[in-house]
Order: sequence, then C-alpha cells, then structure tokens
Amino acid sequence: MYIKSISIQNYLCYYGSKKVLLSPKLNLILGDNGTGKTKLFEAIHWLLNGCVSSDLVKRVSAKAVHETAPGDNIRVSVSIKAMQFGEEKHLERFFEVKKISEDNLILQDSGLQSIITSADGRKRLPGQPILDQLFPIAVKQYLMFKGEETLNVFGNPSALNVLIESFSKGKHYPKYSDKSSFLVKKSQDAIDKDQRTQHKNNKEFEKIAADIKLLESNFNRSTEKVKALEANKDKADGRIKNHEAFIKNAEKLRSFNNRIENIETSINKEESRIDEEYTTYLFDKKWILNRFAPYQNAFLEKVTQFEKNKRREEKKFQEAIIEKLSDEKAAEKLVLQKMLPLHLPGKSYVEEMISSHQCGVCGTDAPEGSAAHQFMVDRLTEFQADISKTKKERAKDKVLYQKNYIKELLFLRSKMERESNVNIDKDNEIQDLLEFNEARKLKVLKLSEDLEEEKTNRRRVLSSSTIAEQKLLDVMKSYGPDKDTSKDAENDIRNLHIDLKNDQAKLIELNKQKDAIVRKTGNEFLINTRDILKDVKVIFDDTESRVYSEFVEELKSRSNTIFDRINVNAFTGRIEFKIVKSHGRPEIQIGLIDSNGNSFSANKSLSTTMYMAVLFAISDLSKSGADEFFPIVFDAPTSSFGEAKTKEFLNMVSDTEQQRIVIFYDFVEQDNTGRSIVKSEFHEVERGKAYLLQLERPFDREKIETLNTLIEEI
Amino acid sequence: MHDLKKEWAKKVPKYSLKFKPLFEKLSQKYGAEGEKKNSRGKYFSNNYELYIYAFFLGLYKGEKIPLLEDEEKEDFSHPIDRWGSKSTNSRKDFTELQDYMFMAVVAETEFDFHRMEIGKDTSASVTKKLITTFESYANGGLHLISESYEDSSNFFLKPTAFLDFIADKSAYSASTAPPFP
Repeated sequence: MYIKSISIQNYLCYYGSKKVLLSPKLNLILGDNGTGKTKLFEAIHWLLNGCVSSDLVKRVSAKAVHETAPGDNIRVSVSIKAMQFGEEKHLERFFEVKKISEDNLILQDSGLQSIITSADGRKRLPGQPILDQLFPIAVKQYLMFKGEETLNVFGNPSALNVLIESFSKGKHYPKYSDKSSFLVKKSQDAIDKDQRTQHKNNKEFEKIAADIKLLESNFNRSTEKVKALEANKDKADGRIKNHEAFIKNAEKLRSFNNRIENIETSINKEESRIDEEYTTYLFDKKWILNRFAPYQNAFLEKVTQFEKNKRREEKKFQEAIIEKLSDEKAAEKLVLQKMLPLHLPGKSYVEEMISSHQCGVCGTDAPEGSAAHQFMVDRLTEFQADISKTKKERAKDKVLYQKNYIKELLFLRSKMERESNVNIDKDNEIQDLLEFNEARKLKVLKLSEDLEEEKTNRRRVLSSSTIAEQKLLDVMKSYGPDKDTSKDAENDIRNLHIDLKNDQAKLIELNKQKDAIVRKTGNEFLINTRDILKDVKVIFDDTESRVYSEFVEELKSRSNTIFDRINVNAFTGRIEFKIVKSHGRPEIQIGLIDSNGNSFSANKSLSTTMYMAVLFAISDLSKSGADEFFPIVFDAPTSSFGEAKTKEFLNMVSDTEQQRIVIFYDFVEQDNTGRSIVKSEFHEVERGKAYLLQLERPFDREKIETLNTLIEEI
Repeated sequence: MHDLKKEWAKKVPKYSLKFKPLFEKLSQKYGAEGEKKNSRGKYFSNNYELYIYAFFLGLYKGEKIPLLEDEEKEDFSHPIDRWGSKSTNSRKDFTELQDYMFMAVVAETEFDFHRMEIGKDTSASVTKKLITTFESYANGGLHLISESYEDSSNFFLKPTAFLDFIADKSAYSASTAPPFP
C-alpha cells in the first residue's frame, strides 16, 4: 500500500485547499521552525486516529475563520488517495463549523468517508472499514513517529506480543498449548474417576492418590514461585545490564560527591571558627587599652602628687594653728581637746560637777577657785561657745580642706594598682587571635583549592557520562540492591529447582505405583490416552517457545542487516535482542554490544539509527505477514544527526520498497528577504519527491489569523 | 560625696556637627550586633562606641583638637556613665572603660587640685576642663578617622582596620595576613 497524495483543507495553518503528491518511495518535507511541519504530521495523525468531537473546532484554520463571514460554514478536512491491491482508495476525515463570531464556532457535521475506484467503477463506502484496510490496527502503531524519543517501539511492553500476534505463526500455538493442557487434565480426571470407583476400598490407592494431589499442589506452588523469582531476577538483571555502562562513572560521582560534601563541611566548620570581631573586642575585651599604660602611670603619679601636696598643706595648716595658741594652757587644752572630744562629758554632767565641787570622773574634790574647778568652768564655756558656732565656722577652725575629692581618686588609684595589668597588657591575646584566624583562613584556602579540584573531577565525570547526574546517582542507588536481588533470586531458584526435581521424581514414582494398580484392573486404554495427550502438549509447548525465539532471531537478523547498511563505514556494534519475562509475559530489551559481546551505551544518533533499523525490520516482517508494505511517517527523526549525517542517512533509506515520509528542518536557510530557501547540498539527497513548507507573505507573527502555510515542490 | 569621676561621667560630651555623617556611616544609631551590624555595613554598635574609639585614637596619636566656640555641635543624649552597659548575650559590659577615660582626662588636664579641695575653685569648673580635654581628643580622633575615610572609603573594610589603626600595627605580625577569600 502507498499513499498517492495527501490533501488538507482549512486545517490550522493550512488555509484553503492544499495537495501534496507523493512518491511510493522516499518523500521529504522540509520546513523552518514555525512553518507548519508538526501541524502536517498532526493532520495525518488525525486522519488515522480521529479525536474527540469537542477538540474539532480547535483545528479550524484561524485565517479561514477570519476570512469567513458570520453565518457561513467552514469545511475542514484531511484526506489521502492510496493504492492498495490495484484499487485507488480515497479516505477523508472532515467536519464543518458555522461561524457565529470570531470566537464562536458551532460544529455542524463531521465524519470519515471513502470512495473506492477500481476496474468495476467508483463506489462510496463508510470510512472506518477502509481506514482499517489501509492501516490495520496491528501495524498502525508502527507507522507514525514524532521525534527521536518515540522510535524505540519496544519501550512499550506489549510490543512483542502485538508483533507476534500480527506477524508470526507463533500466534497460533498458545491456544493449542492451552487446549492440550486441558485434555491432559481431563484424561487424568477420567483415570482418577474410574479408579475411585474400582478401588473404593483400596486404601493403598487412595493414599497414593492423596500423596500425588499434595505433591502436585506443592509442585505448582513452587513452579509459580520460580516464575515470580525469575521475573524479578530478569528485571534486576535488565537494570544491572543497563547500569553496567554507567556504574564506574556512578561510583566515581558518588565518591566525588562524598568528598565534596566532606570538604564543604570542613570549610563551614573552619569558617565558623574564624572570629573577626576585632572592633567589638576593642571594647568588650578592652583591647583599646593596649597602649594605655603611659596615661595610667601619668594619672597615678598625678594623684600621688595631689595626695602628697594635700598632706603637706594640711600639716602646715595644723602647725600654724598650734603656733597661734601661744600659752601652754591653750596647748594643754588642745592636747586635752585632742584627748577628749569637746562634747564629752555632756553639758549637764559638767554643770553638776561644777556645782558639786567634785570631779565626776576621778572623784577628786574641786573646791571653788581650785584649778580643777576652773578647768571644768572653762570647758563648759568653751563647749557653749562651740555649739553657738555654725557648722562651717567650726570646720574652718580645724581643717584646711573643705572638700575631699582625693578620697575617690585614691580609691581609683588603688583599684588600678590592683588590676591594671589585667586590662592593659593585651598584646598576647590579640596576637593569639590573629594567628588563630590566619591559620583557619589558610586552612580554608587549602580546602577551597581541594574543593575546586574535586568539583573539576566531578564535572569531568559528568561530561564523560551520557546520562545526567541524578540518573547516575539513581544507578548507584539501585545497582547494589539489584545485584543482591539477582543473587538471592538465583539461589532461591536453584534451591526450588532441586525441590522441584525431587518432587517430580516422587511424582513419577507415585504415578508409576498408581498406574501399576490401575493396570492390574485392565484400564490401560485410559492411561495410554493420557500419555499420548501429554506428549502432544510437550510438542505444542516446545514449538511455541521455538517460534518465539525464531521470530526474535529473524527480527534481530533483519535489524542488524539494516543497521549495517545505515551505518556503513562506522563503528556501531551489533543490536542485541534479549527476551525477558515481565509479569510472566515475554518482553524484548534491545541494546548494542561490541564484538566481545559486551554492551555499551550509544550516543543519541547511534541509538536513533538502531531504533530505526529495528523499525524498518518490523516493516519488512509486516510485509512477510500481510504481503504488503505500509508507509511510515516521521516527524524530525534525525534532530541529533546534523546535516551531513542526515544526508548520508536519507541516501541509505531512499533505496526502499516501502513508502517513507520524513518531515524535518535540515537543509533550509533564509534569503535576505527572510524567505526560506533550500541549501544546495540538498540536491545531493536522493528522494522520490520533496517539498518545502513556507509561510505565505506578508504575515504578522503576532496575528495567527494571518498565517497560511504554502507547500512548494522542490 | 566629692566624686569628680561621677560629676564628669554625668556629662553628655559633644562633637562637631561636621562629623555627623561619619557617625551615620560607621555606627548603628540604636544598637545592632553581629549579622545585623555587619549587614548594614556598620562597624560600631553605638554612636558612643565610635566616640570612645575616637577619644582613645586621638589620645594615643596625640591629636588634641579643641572644639571651637562658634562650631556647631552635636551630642547623642547619652551621658558617659551609661556608655558600655550591655545586657545582650553577644556583648560584654565595658563600663569599666569609663574609669580609663577618666584617668586619661585627669592625667591630660591642667587644673588646680588644691584650690578645688580647699573650696576656692568649684568642681564644676574642673569638670568642665575635663570634658573639654575629653572632647578635644575625641575630636582629634574623629579628624583622623574622617581623613582616612575620605582618602579611601575602603579603608575600614578589612576586619582588622580599626584594630590596626589604633594599635601599633607592626606589633601584630598576622595583620599582614592575606585577605579572607
């Protein structure tokens, strides 16, 4: 089957009606970004797959809406003309909307229709059966690929079964295998039923039958367990295999990350220990006093001088007073005054002593006119004169200094004499902190250099890795546990196989014993029937397994042939196919191996060619299954290639019986008016037909209603 | 109670209005510590810290520049006896520095102690002389800081800048350490 032409009408940026005639071989559609490449791909996808009706109005060309008068209808359609088995099949998906306003469109009609033209004439038919004839459901998923990421068809776990179902004889075997299992069971049931009747009271037979039942149940349970373990092991092994290419880098990355983390912790620790509050310490630790000693000494000397002067002046003053007291009595008085304060004994007591003519202190008689009596009278007179003086007059008489500022200064002096060294000598303390901080800084500097080196190493690992950092770390995380899982599963499977083997031997023995009893009763026919059915089942099971393997081998062989052809003269390795069981179902994992059978990770463009080779191999198989090729449509399948490799690749795939439509952006540049033009190198690219997508000019980039894609044949 | 230190410490010393921008640049008006102080580019937690620093700097460098009669003056409404009383975890009390400042001004001020003690001169007149000495040295220190700042506003970016400036720089070998990366 191949598509002769594609027509598009009012579909998004394709305003009006556009038609592309296609070659049965390689068709190339070029276009700069924003010219409608992906919209063309989506238009074909919509034709093949449709969409929910609520999405239809979103597909109307904005320019068509703008150009249509309110109340008028707009028809949107995508159609193909295809040749299949000598008939021309026209298939169209369409819908019509009525414009109420710019942003209000009402869906009027929609559908899928077809017209078949053959030697018998033209006839109109419902679209869906024709669509299914042109693009059978089984192959439809291998026909359209958008971007490089979608090329790995085995990314879909059901892909192998779908392929077997569609293209391999293996699809017939599972049902025979199931049927033969059923028949074996039935024949065994018939034997058991017969024997139960015949040996109703045969205890030995019943015991053997019960033992067999128990063993079989154990056997089945163990078999299921083995299956589950194998599935687990396969999964873990698959991951291990995928991760093996990255594990060295992952280990290195983990080691560098650990080292980086440790260094960063050390740097933080050292930095947190650096204490540079020098200005604060001028105050809090009194470092500001470090040069204060001379001033303190000056103060101490000055205060000492004040004190000396004060004492000297005070002495002079006292001596002057004494000189003033000329007579001896006065001197005595002064002495007495010094001995006994003026107010002692009290005034009333002295008055009593005078009137009683007797000394109240020593008991001596003091008659009127005696010296003792006169002393007491003078003392009283003096006291009375003294208490009549003001406080100020009294003080002036006795002391020179009316103020006593010296006291606090002396207090401060003695305090400083005690403590000065503590506060003033700070040199060592300052030096110690400076040296401590300098040592920390040098350490941080050294650690920073180490950190930079480790980071460079890490960057090196990451740049040499084809997967990103998080994925590498994930590899590291799962690699060890996967290894453990695989090893544990292997041990368990080995042990279970030993158990199964033993159980099987016991079962054979028990069945023999049972059969011997049965044979004695003459029901050998039933036993022979069961044995034949058992053999049939073994044949079906083996054949099914072989057909699966053959199919995969065939796919592998075809894929590698195509892979070699695409990558001629380049190192590619070989594509390896591995059947793994997931949830009891076979799946295919594909990858590249070198000549020693070691797997390696491919760069993106090599992966792309690998997936494409597999895809083309599937197409080959589809031909052998359905006896015809189906066209494949790619949107930007070679974005990682670059123009030179794309050219080489297209030339390789142009030689094909299968129709291919490739939409891509290579080989296009702009002339000085901004129009897209095709580069001269493109003329060296072999192809059936080629088109350039171009926006009609003039247009306004900000107004979608001005956009209209033109399709120009190159 | 005759306590000259107490009388001196009750005073609110002044500084020249022309240094107000310097206070705004270098010190945090309402007090700030640690990160907050650093993040605002301040070196001193309080205006009076800068004042104390300027006083000692002027004293050690012999820069005694009296404030002129007609010069516009400013103060920060904070008597000396309140300077350095801290209650935060990150800072220590340094009210003791008041003693040292007092000792320095007593040592550096000419006054007749005898006349004051016999009551012929008032303590207020002596205190005024002490405050004048105090303000003169602080003014001298502020001139030095201001000149260095004008020469290069990066002058004080180095963590040891204020320490080096006031200390005998050559005394500390590590002060030539490379700047922190």
